Amino acid sequence: MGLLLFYLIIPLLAILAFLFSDERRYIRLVSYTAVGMQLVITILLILLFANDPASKGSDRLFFAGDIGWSRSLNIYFSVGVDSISIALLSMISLVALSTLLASGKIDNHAREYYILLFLMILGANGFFISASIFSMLLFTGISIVPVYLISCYRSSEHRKVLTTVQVLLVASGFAILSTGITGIYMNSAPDGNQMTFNIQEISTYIIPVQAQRVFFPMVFFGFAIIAGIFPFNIFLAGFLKSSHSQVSMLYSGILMNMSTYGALKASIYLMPEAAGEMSMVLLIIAAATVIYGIAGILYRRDLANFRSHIPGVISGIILFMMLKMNRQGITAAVILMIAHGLFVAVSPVVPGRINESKGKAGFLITGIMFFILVLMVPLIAMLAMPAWFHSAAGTGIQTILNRILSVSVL
Amino acid sequence: MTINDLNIMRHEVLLISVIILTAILTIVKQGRRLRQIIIPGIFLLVTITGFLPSEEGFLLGGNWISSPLLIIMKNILNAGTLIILLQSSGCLKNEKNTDITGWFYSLIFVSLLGMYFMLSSGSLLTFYIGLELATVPVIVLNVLLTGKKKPRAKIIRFYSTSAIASMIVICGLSMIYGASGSMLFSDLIKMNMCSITHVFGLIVFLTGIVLKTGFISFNLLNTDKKERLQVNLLSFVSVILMSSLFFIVTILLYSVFPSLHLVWQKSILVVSIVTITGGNIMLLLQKNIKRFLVYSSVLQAGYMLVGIVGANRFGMEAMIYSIIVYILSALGVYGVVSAVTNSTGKEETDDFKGLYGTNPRLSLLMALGLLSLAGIPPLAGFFGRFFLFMAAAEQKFYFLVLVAALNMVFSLYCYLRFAGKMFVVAKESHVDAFRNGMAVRAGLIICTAGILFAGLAGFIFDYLRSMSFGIF
Repeated sequence: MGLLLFYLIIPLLAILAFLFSDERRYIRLVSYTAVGMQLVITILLILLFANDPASKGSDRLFFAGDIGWSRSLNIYFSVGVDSISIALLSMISLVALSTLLASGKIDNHAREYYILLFLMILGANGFFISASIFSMLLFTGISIVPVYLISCYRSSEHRKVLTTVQVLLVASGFAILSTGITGIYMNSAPDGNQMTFNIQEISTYIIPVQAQRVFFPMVFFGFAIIAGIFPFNIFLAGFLKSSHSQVSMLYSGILMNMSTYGALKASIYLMPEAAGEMSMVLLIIAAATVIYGIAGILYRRDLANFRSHIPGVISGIILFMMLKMNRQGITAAVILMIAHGLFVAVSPVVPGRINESKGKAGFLITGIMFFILVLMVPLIAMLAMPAWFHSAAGTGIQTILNRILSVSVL
Repeated sequence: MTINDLNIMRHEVLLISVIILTAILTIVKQGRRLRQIIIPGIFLLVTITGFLPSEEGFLLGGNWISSPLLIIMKNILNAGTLIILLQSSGCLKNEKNTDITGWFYSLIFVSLLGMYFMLSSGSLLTFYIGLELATVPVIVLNVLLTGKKKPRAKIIRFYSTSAIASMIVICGLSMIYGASGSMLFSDLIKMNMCSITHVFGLIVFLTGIVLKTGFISFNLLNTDKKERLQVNLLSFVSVILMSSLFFIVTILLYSVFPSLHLVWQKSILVVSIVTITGGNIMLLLQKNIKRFLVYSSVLQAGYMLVGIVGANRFGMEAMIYSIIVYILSALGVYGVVSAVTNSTGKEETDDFKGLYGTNPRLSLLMALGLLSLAGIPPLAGFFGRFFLFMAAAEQKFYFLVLVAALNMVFSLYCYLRFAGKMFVVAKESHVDAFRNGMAVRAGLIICTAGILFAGLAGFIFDYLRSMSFGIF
């Protein structure tokens, strides 16, 4: 538990350190030190986890612990990681590093920018180490406002409209999510026992199916709206295109991955019955997300537009694979999340560089970009294939529909 | 009346002695500067003594009640008033305002005493006396602050609207009395109220209370520019007075009229949805900062009603907690606005453009306060809001929670739009850089610390839950 708390302490200390001086070299020193320390902690965490003999194929949480928040309401800030969250934490650290590399040229209000950036990193770290849905909600909220503030102050006047609309959509996702999470808490102990927010404790109960039918869509869509699921992603590409590369990295690399992970952990994992009932509808929606994004890509020619549609497509694919609700699908989804994060960490830098240099280097970098994409496609196909094959093993109309959807997504 | 009785009434006795002391200091002409240190200092002592353990009991034949819950509420009101006194001290220090300093302090204290009586009331009669004692000083103070400038028609309108609201309150109270034959709450609790007179009386009574606060707040808005201390008085009404009314109305609904809960639960549900949505729409339209703040408190009142709808113990705790949070965040915002308007006289929202360039700390605190009012984690406002939602959800009012939560998005937009103005890089700043006095700064620091840490300090809520709620 002590090790995990460093994920919160390091960004907090960095934010406090920024308050003392706004000299540019000092800020850069502090930020690189903080991210470097986080990388070291991550490596340590991975080593400890890999050497632990109990880590093979077990469901329990590692480095788990509780900090009491309100004992009478049974609200604890519980931390704990499993293999999925460790992988995602290391992805976050890399995205943080690449965002720092990309934001070297920021001059005006640099201190405010870095404070917001580290607030965002704090939110993401806290989200992935938390083992209770209350703290997940809390850290989602912490990450939303910095995105808005950064993109508002980095954007010109006419871009602000898109940013505001997108952030209000995200905030409405947050609002629906908070309703759903309240509902889960109220139904977490059907026998009149102490109600709880802890994911492990809730998963030992079966939440009444009646309640699941109400709250599963709330929690799932709460997260999925943030991740950009179909009807709610019409402003996403425009927002990502118009905002600066740092903002789109933060949004698609951190916030979208956070919410897809949240959809997995807080809705599908906790309420599998309702998820099973609704999976067909949700699969269609997720497929629509992918198709919408691909259509967007096909209509655009330039790289900036092209890139802005990719996060939507990938998060659609991730949700799609998650909703298969079998081990392969979820594994594939998680690996795709990490791949997406790393892709995002690299890709927005590239068009920025191209725009800046506009010379011979541009061709080379476009080549690298193409190479990464070529790598990505087999990766996606390779990882997703077993899941699709597996899910297509049944019989009946559902399976046929499933196959059609799978093929269309591919 | 014995010494022990005085101990039960400790808050009131101490406050009355502070009022007498203030009156004496006002009459004495010398030592005006000293007065501004002594009076808030003594009130600070009174606030601290309020937290000492106290006894519960009845006095005056059941007309006056004291319980641990009421003592917490009085302490909260004390702390809020202390912050307002600190915030207003910057303006009171000015040479021009020496004539009203004593009046300002003593009338604020008298109004606070009225709130005490209202909270501790054990019968409908003492409740009404407390209500008048809490509101009349505000009206008098408003007239005093504006001096001779104010047209007579405005003053008469202020008095008469308040009197009309009082008449409606009395009408409701007398209906309840007529239907049940007793004014004492202890008798009313035992009664099974189901007659139509009870229902109608309760509705008229609640309407009167809402009108009373509404009339007072909106009449206070009706002032000319550059009037002294108007923002501080406004913050007293829309934060402290509103909180005390919320306390007493919740107590009355939960413990005196529980047998009518089917009626008031549904009607408060509708009222809260209307208040939240209407408050949001009005908030969006405001150009004047004082109006913006008043509509923001209307909005917050709507959210607190969400907690009251969950008619249970949890609802009461969540309401008290969210009022603590509301006092801290709203007074943070009001403190900045009063610092700006008291020193420059500017009160349009556009005047705050580019405030970050000249007064970065003030604008940061303002942004924190606004975000906390919007309910953004990890600021205190989020926790207050979340507990209110949980209280409503416990009674399965999920639809209400969803509507209220979606409205949070609109209010977030309203608050962010205003907060964004402060961070715009303006060509010419409307407000020059200025420095605040020590007391003003202390008030603002308390609010900032509260906004940042009250949410994370879960023991506050545990403490509220551990209290025995005594008679109620």
